[in-house]
Order: sequence, then structure tokens, then C-alpha cells
Amino acid sequence: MNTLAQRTERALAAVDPASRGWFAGWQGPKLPQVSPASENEAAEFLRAADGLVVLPMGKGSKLDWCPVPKNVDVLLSTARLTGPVAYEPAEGVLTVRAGTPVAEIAALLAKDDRRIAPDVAHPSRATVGGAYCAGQGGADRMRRGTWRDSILGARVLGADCTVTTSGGRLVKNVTGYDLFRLHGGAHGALGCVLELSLRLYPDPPASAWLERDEDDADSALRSLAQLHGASIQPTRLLAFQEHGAWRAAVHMEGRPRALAAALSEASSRLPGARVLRDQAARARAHALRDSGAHANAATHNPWPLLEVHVRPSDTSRAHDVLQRTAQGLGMGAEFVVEQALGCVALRTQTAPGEAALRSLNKAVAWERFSARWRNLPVALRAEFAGPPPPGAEQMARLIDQFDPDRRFARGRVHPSL
Amino acid sequence: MHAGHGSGSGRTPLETSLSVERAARLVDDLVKLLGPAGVVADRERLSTYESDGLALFRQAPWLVVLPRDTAQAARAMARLWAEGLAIVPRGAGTGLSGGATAVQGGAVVSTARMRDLLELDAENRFARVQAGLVNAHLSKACARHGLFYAPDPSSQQACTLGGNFANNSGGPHCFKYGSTVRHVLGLVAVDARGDVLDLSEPRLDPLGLDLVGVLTGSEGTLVLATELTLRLLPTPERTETLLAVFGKLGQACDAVSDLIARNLEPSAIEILDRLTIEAVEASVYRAGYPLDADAVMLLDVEGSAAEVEELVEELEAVLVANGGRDLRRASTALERKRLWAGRKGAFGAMGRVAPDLYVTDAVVPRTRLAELVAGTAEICRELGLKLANVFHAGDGNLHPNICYDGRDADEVARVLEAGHRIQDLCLAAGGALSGEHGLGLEKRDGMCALYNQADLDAMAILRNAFDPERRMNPDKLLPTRPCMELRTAPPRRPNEVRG
Repeated sequence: MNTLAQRTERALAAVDPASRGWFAGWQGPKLPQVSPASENEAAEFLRAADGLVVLPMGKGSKLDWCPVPKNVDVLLSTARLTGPVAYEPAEGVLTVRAGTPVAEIAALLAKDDRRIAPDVAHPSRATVGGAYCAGQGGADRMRRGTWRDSILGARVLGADCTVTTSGGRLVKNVTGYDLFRLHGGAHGALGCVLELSLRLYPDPPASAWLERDEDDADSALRSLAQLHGASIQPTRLLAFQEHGAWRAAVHMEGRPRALAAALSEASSRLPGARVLRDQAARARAHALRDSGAHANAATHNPWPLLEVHVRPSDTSRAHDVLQRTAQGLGMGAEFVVEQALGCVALRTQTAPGEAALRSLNKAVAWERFSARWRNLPVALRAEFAGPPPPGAEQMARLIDQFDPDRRFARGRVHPSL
Repeated sequence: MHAGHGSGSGRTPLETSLSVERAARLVDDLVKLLGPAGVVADRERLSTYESDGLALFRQAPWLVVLPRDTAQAARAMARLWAEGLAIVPRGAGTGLSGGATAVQGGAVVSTARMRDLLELDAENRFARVQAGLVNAHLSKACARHGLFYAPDPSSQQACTLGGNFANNSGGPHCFKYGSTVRHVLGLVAVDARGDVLDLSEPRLDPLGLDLVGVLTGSEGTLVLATELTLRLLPTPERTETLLAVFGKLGQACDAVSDLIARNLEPSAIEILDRLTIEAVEASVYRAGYPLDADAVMLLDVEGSAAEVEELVEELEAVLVANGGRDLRRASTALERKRLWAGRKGAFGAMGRVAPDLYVTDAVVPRTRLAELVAGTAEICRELGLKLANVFHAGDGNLHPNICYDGRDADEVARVLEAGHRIQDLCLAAGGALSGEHGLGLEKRDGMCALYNQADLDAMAILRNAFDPERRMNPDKLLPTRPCMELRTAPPRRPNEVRG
């Protein structure tokens, strides 16, 4: 029983029939998918999958962000590992199974006026484990930071088929190595994350969204600079294009009186801005959560998205370079610029040709911007991955040490890894 | 054949496993590389390095090197590697877990001469520093730009940022801003072989595995950090410092649990008990804490003026509802400074209570503060020990401080027993071994009570990936024997620093 088909058959036989299926919802090959209902079943499957290359995943909403691995035989989904494991609102910590959709977590916490961060896009499609392993940023990054600021511990199924714990369920803890940190952004290269513990944040009772039409990008970025200097503690500050028109916006949250004072200051710095409050403000903030989505559409944008990260002081220049290049290529593009974070997102508006995408990528490489592409045609993903990230040699060594027999699919973090 | 070598001072050296000739050549090479001030090899001066802030564990190194920068550190460590020496990184030596305790016959690499602020980018809100820069010096340097560095351990006037990185240190204001790991944007580090890892470019969302995150808090067992890129935060528009007095320590603890349950988030929530108050008020750190109180709570509230005012009102209501009295806001910057100086000087002030202080560090669920603080008091009462509590209540980070006389062997034994029992109590309640001091030598074996062997084996894989020969700070952080063995072994005594 040594052909691939036979090995696959043997591995699938180790799990409940309800856990088996096929997955074709990406630009990779149609593959068998196993969605275990328990940690034990996941470990049993991995044991039986000896000789197969396994790609861990959540619900698959971010599989198109990265190169399709050269070697992958079966997908291991956490989509059925859902629900809270431990939740004590007064403690401010939630432990949850990795396949839980982010929207379900938000619903659970809302009744206690709590939330998790980052505030990721498409929360009903994204699982918390998938978002963590993909290193997905959130719209509240300016205020609440990245996953590193929120994840307190994890349970992980490793290549040796054991489930191990690192970190814990406490807001402060320096006990041993924080192995769980290695899985954020690792796209499953080191193992399958089964459970996460997260720090909870207060869900602010009041919310306001200010938005003003701007003449052009320069004007919008000047408005952002005005707001960034204010003592308004924004959740998000962004300049963005919608149907070609530039807008500057600020999202603020807090206690009612404090928010009223912040709103007053922000309004004085952004005269003429439209003001949305509470539910309307949140709805607008959620609609614009994903730089890759059309602001006025719930549908997923299928066209490539480029995000570059630079020092905040270089944001304006990065935007200029991308805008000039896109214009020169005749590429329909709209931008979301978060100056305080040094982040510029370019979303293409139509299907650009490969030649245009290559030229844009060349400009990015020339400028040495740190770049991430999403939704690229499969053929371009590895080519556009850019140089290996700093520390690539150590990352490769770690991946080799944690998975010496190459049980988990590689190449999604970067083709060199 | 054992040998020793002086640094030209003529004083007696300590022993090493190297031959006389190799030892002499190594010291000469290092002196050529680092200069005479960069090498310490005589017994008298080496005694300075025989312990960190946890004096229960003592071991002088054979050699100390003090590089000036990354390049020197890399070359010195490569040379030490070639001779097969163990390397213990050291900052200011203020750690409280024995994490900087030297290895017999090994070398200490000190960052004491790496104190430069390399870059202060106010516009992009980060600083690049050498690892030996003292914590408080960074905030002082960036204050004129309206910025500050958030992690503020009590020892911040002496401890180094590299030491903070190694232990993922916290401090009172980490309740709001988080521990060091949330503020390290990048680093340059040297591994045991002398290879340099450059991750210095500040990145909000670095691509790939979070190496910076996993190296933070690794207690010098994986790499020596030589440079750090640190996030700076804008100085809050307004800060209010509140002091609340409680008739019972338990009431103060319950008030904290209530504040957290109600989603109220000041920047810092600290509690000091009666013995601590008495020690502080009798010392140079005198802060004006009331001597008739069983406990005081110190809170900082930061933000915009409106935000602070609104939050202070809500906080005061909850404090009063939980038995807080004589609530007072610091009316001047001087008064605020004084109130905080009392808190930060508390450990020093306890020198008045007894010659030695054993500072315990544990984290407990914030919903069970009162019960567990009472439990630690009961343990010390049973063992006839003096206990003073001063702790980061908002994070559930307890610091039961046991005052003792190190010359009294029986008392030392009881102190250690209390330490173990407090640890067991906290772990049984779902707590952790350490919130900010790290495990070092002191709590290394306690890992078996918190994790199973498979968890520890996974951690060993990380260690092996960076340092397969276990040259970097050996015997720290991970148990050196299987947990099965440790569970049946008698407790370690002071100075049993080898596994």
C-alpha cells in the first residue's frame, strides 16, 4: 500500500466519514480534505497520514494569498473545531478552538461588552486560527496592534503527531518559550494550530466615524497628518478612494463623554466632514475593514491587491510611486493609505495583464518596499514573493527542526522556506 | 589540566577546564579584540558577577567580556565558541530569577559597555538602542519629543533594555501597554557561534515566522541581543494618579477584580500592603502613604483630558463601593512623582525590615486575587516568615516579598519552602510561574508542574535550532532532567546551580 492513492485512502480511513471531503475552493488542485471534530481525531489522522504532505487550513479564505505549495496531498481543516474552551468575562481572556469563525467570537463576546483584536475582514469566513496563521492584520491595528499583542497561548498539533501547549490563559505570563508566536504568519508550516487563548479588550460603548471628500491624494494625506497630531486616539485613520474619489476618514471609539470631546477636536481639524455615530459608524468601519474589498460591496474582490509597508514617514512617497506606476501602465487602481502605520494598499479594479503586474512588481522591488500580494494568478505568486524575509535562514532551520520529515506543506510563507 | 589567567593585574584567576596555554591565549586574544577594559579575569573583580538580584544562587564566571558593539560581541562570542565555553549574557544584573547566574568555568558576556542610543526617530516613533542602555534613560531621551517607552520595571533606573528583552519584563504600566514583547519592533542578536541575526528594521507586520516575538523572553538561552528597535508612544495628554486606602488587603484585591470585570482600564493598578507601607514610609522613598491602612492602591489614568476625567469618576465609584476610602488624586507633578517613588522604591525600602529579600513572582487569575493573596500570607505565617506584598494587581501579577536573614540557614530553608508552596498554590489556581522576572535557575524545574514532557520537548526543539550545544545560558529556563525524575527528586538547595 504505497502509492499516493493508497496512502491517502489509509489516512482518510482513520477519521470519521463525516470528517472527510474534498476541497476545490482555491486555485490549487482539488484535494481530499479532512475536518476533524476533535484534537484526538486530528492527531489520529496525522498519524495515519504518514508519507503524505498535509496543509493545515481554517476555512480556506486566505489560501489565495500565498503560493500554492509544490507538494501537498491532503488538506487538514480546523473548520469543525469550533467553540469556546474557556471563557471568563471578568478575567478578560477567551480560549477558543481554532476553527471558530471570528464573527462567532464577536457575537459571544458582545453580550459582555468585550471584543478581540485584530478586527479582521470577512469575520464570518475567517476562522480565528486561520487569521492568526496567515498573519492577517486588522482595521484596529493602530489602537490594538497585531496578533502578537493579543495571543496569549496555543495548542498545536505538531509533525510528531503530539498536541503541545505553550503560553497560557493569563494576560501576563513569561513562563518558558512562547512557541505559539512562531505560528502567527507561518501558514501552517510548523504545525496545525488547534486552540488559541486571546486577551480580550473592552468593547467601547460609543463609536464615531468622520469622513470628508478630498480633492486628491495629497489633500487626503494632509488631512490624515492633521488628525494624527491630535489627541483623539483613533482606532483607524485612513485616506482611501471610492469610485475614484478620494476621502479622508477617522474612526474613533470610547466612553461617551470622552468620545464627544474627541469628535469635537477631530471635527475642528476636518471641517465639513460627515459624521456617523454608533451603529452607522461601526457599519461603515466594517465595510472598509478590508483594503481589498470594494467599500460598497460585500462581494470579494477577485483582482490582485498589493500592500506595501514602509516607515510611516515614507508613506506618501510609497503612494506616489505606486500611483505613478499604475497610471503609467494604464492600470485601473484604487488606494487605501494608512499613513500612521506606513501602509499603502493598491487594489486593481479590473483584471490586469501579467505584463502590467510584472512592471508594478518591478517598481516595488526597485524601491525595496516590503510588499505583499493577494489574489495573484497562481503562476505569478512565487515570482512576486520578493527576496527572502530577514531571518529566513533561521526560519528555515526552525521549520526543518520542527518538521524534519516534511509532514506539513512548505513554501507558503515564502518560496525559499 | 586546569588553568587560570589574569588580565594583567596579577590577581588570582579562577579555574577553567582549558589548558594553561589555551586559557592564556584566549584571554590575550580577547584583550586584543576588546581592549583591557573589555575583559575581566581576576578573582576579585569576577566576584561582582557571581549573582544577579537573586543572591541565593552564586557562581562566579571564569571570565567576563564586555564588548562595545555587535561586531565586537560577535567576534568575542565566536572566540569563546571555539574554546567550548558556556556563555551567560548579562545586562545590569538586576534580574530576580538567577537568569544571569554564571556557569562554573564559563564566560559572561556583559552589555554594560553597550549603552548607546543609536537612533531616535520621533516621526516614526521608534528608537534603536544598544542592549545595555538603561531603561529609564530611553524615556528620558525621548521625552523632549513628546514620546515615552512604556515598559517600566521597578528597577528601571538600573536595569537594561537588553535585560528587559531577555525577560520580557513588565512593570506597573504594562497593565495598559503590555510587556516588553509588545514594544520590540526589531533586534540585532548574536548566537552562540558568533553569527549575527539582523532583524533591526522596524516592521509592524513582519513577513514569516515571528522571530522577534519568540526571542523576546528567551532569557539569553537562544541569542544575545545587542541592539533593539523599540516602539515609542506619544506622552498622554493628561495623567491622573489616584491613591485609595483600604482597611483590608482583601478589599483592595476585590476592588481590582471588580474594576476589570467592569471593563475599566486605567494604565496601572498597584497594591501595597501594610508591611510594605511601613517600610516605605520609614525610608528615603517616603511617599505619604497612610500608616493606618492595611493596604493602599495606586492607580494611574492616562489619556485625553475628557477620557481621564470620565474614567476617574467611574473608577472612584467602584473603589468606594469596594471599601476604598480617603481617595485622593495627586494634585501636582511632584506629588505624583512622590507617590510612584514610594511604589518603585518599595523593594529597596524593605532592607529596613530584614537584611535579605526574596522577591517571588507569580501570576494568578485576576478573579481570584483576594483568595490567593490571603493564601500566600497563610503560607508565610505557618512558616514564621515576614511577608510584604507589593504587586501589579491589574495583571494578577503577585510579588510576595519574603524578608529574611541569609545568615540564618534555617530561615533560608523556610524561605525556599515558602517559595515552592506559593508557586504550587498559584499554579493550582490556574496561575503561571512568572509574570515578568523569568524562570532562570529559580523556577526552571517548576516548568514540569505547568507543562508536560511533550510541551517541554517542543520548547527544546526551539532551543536546539538556535543553540544545539546548549552553550547559551545553559541550565536556565528548561529543566535539565526529565520531569519524571524531577518529580521524585528532593528539592534543590541554594547554589545547586548545575542540573
